[in-house]
Parts: sequence; C-alpha cells; structure tokens
Amino acid sequence: MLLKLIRHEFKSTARVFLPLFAAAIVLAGVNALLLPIADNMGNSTASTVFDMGVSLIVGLLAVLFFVLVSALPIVVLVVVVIRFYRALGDEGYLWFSLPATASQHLLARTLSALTWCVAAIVVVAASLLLCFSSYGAFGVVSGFLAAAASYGFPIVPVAVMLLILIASATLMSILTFYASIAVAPHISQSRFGGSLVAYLIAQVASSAALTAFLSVASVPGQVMFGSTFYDLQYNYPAFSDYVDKVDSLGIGYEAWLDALLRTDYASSAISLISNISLVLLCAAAVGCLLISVVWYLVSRHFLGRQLNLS
Amino acid sequence: MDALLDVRGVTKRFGNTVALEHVDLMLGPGRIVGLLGPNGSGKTTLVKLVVGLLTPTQGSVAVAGMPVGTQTKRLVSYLPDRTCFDNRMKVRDCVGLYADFYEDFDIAKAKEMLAALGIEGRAAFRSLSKGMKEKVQLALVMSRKARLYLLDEPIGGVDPAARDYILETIIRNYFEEGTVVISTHLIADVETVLDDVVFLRDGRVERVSSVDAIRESQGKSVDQVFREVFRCC
Repeated sequence: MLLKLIRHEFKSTARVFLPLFAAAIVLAGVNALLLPIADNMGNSTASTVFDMGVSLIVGLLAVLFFVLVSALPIVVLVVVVIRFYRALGDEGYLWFSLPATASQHLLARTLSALTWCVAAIVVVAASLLLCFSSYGAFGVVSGFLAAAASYGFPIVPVAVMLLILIASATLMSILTFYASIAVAPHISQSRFGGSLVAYLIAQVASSAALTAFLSVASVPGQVMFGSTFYDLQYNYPAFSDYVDKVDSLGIGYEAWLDALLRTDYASSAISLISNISLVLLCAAAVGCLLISVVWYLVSRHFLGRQLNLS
Repeated sequence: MDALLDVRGVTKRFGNTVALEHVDLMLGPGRIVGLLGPNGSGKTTLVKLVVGLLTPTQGSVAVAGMPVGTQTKRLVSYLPDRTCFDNRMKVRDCVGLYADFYEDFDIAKAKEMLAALGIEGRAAFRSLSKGMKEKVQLALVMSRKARLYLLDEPIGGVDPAARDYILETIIRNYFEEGTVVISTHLIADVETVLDDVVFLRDGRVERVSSVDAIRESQGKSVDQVFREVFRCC
C-alpha cells in the first residue's frame, strides 16, 4: 500500500515539478549560449537597433532564469505544503477512505516532498553551473575543489555531511508544516487560521529546540578547537608568535587565513577547521532529524487517532 | 442478526457542539437502508465516523466485527457529499486510482458505466460539470463489490432526472450481499428502493424500522411519517 501511495504521489507531483525543472535547465542552456554573444556585442563600438534588440531579449531571458532559479526551491516547498493542506480538505475524503494507515499516507507524502525539494536544490546548482559554463564555471569549481584537496581538506566527507544537513533541514521544514496543518482542526474552526497559528508556534519551538540542542552538541567541536589550539600554541611556539604578529598588524581575516595557509601550520589548521566543520554539520543534521521525528509523530497522531476532516 | 455495522454509544462533539449523542445502531447484511433526517441531524457525521474520517469522542464503531481502520476501509465503499478528486486528474486516472487501491474494484464495470454516461477516460475531471463529477464518483463507488456502501447525499443537488439515474445506478450495481446506506433528506425520491429506515434527529437515533413495518402499522408512506416526525413548530 505504501508503494502504491508513493507511486501516486510522485505521479501527480511530477506533472507540476518536471516542467519547472525542465524550464530551469533549458533557460540555463539558452543563457549559456546567449550571454557570451551579448557580451561580445557589448564590446563592439558600433551599436545598432538590432544589437539593442538582441541585448534586450538576452537580458530578459537572463532575468527570467535568475528569478526562476531563485524561486524554485521555495515554489516546490509551497506546492508540497499546499498539496498536504488540500489532502486534509475535500481531497481527504478520498485519501483517508483508502485502506492505508496514517503512517503510510504521511510517509508517502513526506518522501515525495523531500525528494522534490532536494531535487530542486540540485537543479538550481546544476543550472547555475550550466548557465556560467561558458565563463569557466566548471573550471572555477573544480579548481577550488582541487586547491582545497591539495591542502588536505576532506572534501568528500564535508560535502556528504553538507548534503545530509540540507536534506535534514528540508525534512524538518516539511514536517513542521505538516504537523501544523494536521493539528489545525483541533485549535481553530478556521483550518487556515489554525494552521498559521500552529505553524508559528511550531517554528518557534523548532528553533528553540535546535538552538538548545546545538549548544550542547557543539561542545565536542569546542573541545576539539581548544585542544588543537593548545597543541599548536605549546608544541609549535612559532605558531603563537605568528598569530601575535598578524594580529598586531591588524590585517583582515582573509589575509590572515591566506598567510596561514602558506605556513607549515597549514595542515594543522586545515585539519582543525575540517574536523570542527564535520562535528558541527553532523550535530546540526542530527538536531534537524530529531525535531523531524517529533513533528512526524505529532502529525501521525493527529492524522490517525485524532483525524477530524471538516 | 449478524451485525455488519455496529455503532455503540457513539457521541461526537465539535468543541461545544454535540453532533451525535449516545448513538446505538446495528445494521445487517443485504439491506438498503435510508439514513434519514433533516439538515444538521448528524447523518454526515455518522457516515464519516463509519468511514474513519472522524474519530468518536465516545463509544465505538465496528464494521464486520472489526473496529474502524485499514481493514474496514477495504470493505466500505464511500461516496462523499462533495467532489474529492483533484481537479487536475483525468477520468482514467481516477479509475486507475480505484483499481490500484481496491481489490474488489471491477474496472470493466466502471468503464462500462462511464461509457454509458458518455464520459471519456481522457477527459479532465475539471472539465466536467458538477453533476457529471458526482456521477463519475458514483460510478467508481458502485463498481466495487463492497460489503458496505455508504452514500452520503447521493441525490442532493441534482435535478429529478439525474436522481432517477443515480438511484437506478445504485440498485442495478450494488453487490447484493452488501448493505447500502443512503444518507438523505429527500425521502420521497429514495423511498421506493429502501428496505429499512433510520431516523436521526438532533444527533440521536429517533427510530429504526423496516419500510414495510411503517407502511403496515401506520398506513402511510415513509415520506409522510418523516414529515410528521420532523414537522417544524
């Protein structure tokens, strides 16, 4: 039953999202071709009406593309939330009379929503890369990654943790909305008003819980920072001198970092930064997942044992 | 009587409003039952409790001896009092959805009924009139071999000719071992097809009787008795 629900959910949402994603990719491709042409025309001294017309069209296409890619993840989230809201309205008379449990309904919708939200982020990243490919975007990214790797920065683990964090945070957002909508009939006659009030309360609760969790969970990172810094200061006295020197010069953080990377202490510093990054990313992801579980259980309770379709 | 539907001591409150109060009701198999009462008497609430769309404040509801849940939903074919399909779906998607989720769904029968209505599978649900949407939903609901059909206001809001069509569809297509519950306040239209009636008033069961018993004991039609029982002051 769960697989059937998932299939139906993906089928009906694909009709909305696939054309949007395709539009983003196509516009990126068109912009990748046209932007360099417009640039060349801009460099030319002889400007004709035709050139201005072409520039105008290219400009409009570029604006359209950037509006689409900036709005895409939000649009996808809004659509999945509206779908869930409607599933507890008139459409609920169909869905909740099917022989499926509240958990199966919730899992199917959550899985589909999460997949589309993450896909939207991937599509945005891919279309931006494609759009700027003629300006060497792939080269810049791969160069950055190669440089970071050459300093011993653990790119793959950090990238994986970052993706897990993005997915967990998205999941938390989706389930916060779902729980608010599921609770709404129990707190107000107006389903929309109830959902809004419940969401505001749930959002504040989520933020407070995440902050509290991170303040505790980041302790290992702080300890790690303290011990590594202690190690650098006392086992590598030159490091301490160096830090004092750059501090007294009052140079900016970026210059400090750049100078540091040129020293013998680079590997120790990179190791410190990457380990702390991993610990913090991991802590944030776990926090988001724990809060997601709470909202999932709340939603399941109100869709199952307390279901009241108005 | 082996109870197909067993409602015991059910109360349903919405805030301070009492929609149903201490309702007890038992229905056996193979009957066509009219759930009758004026607007606001609790008919839809009772139907929704049996389907599992509402949770009782008090009491219990069982279908074929099982508390309302996933198992009972397999046995119940429910026609809501509103359009429940996503307007963006095509008619064939609606048929596919029923075929996918209900093992007792007879897809050939559904297609035959839709063809008789002149509705094509590729038609968008949103392009149909309100009456046609109701007929599509009815065709799907009646294409199941269900143990219990719950039809909430199936003839409300349609013209008299459409009412005849709908009642004929119900009578010709229901699985004869199953029980059909028709919730309505349009008594005269459904009276001829009913075996039993349940009168609801202000969330309470006022009377449960067979249609024959009413006619024999009182010499009146169900519609006449209903008008007397529910006469406004």
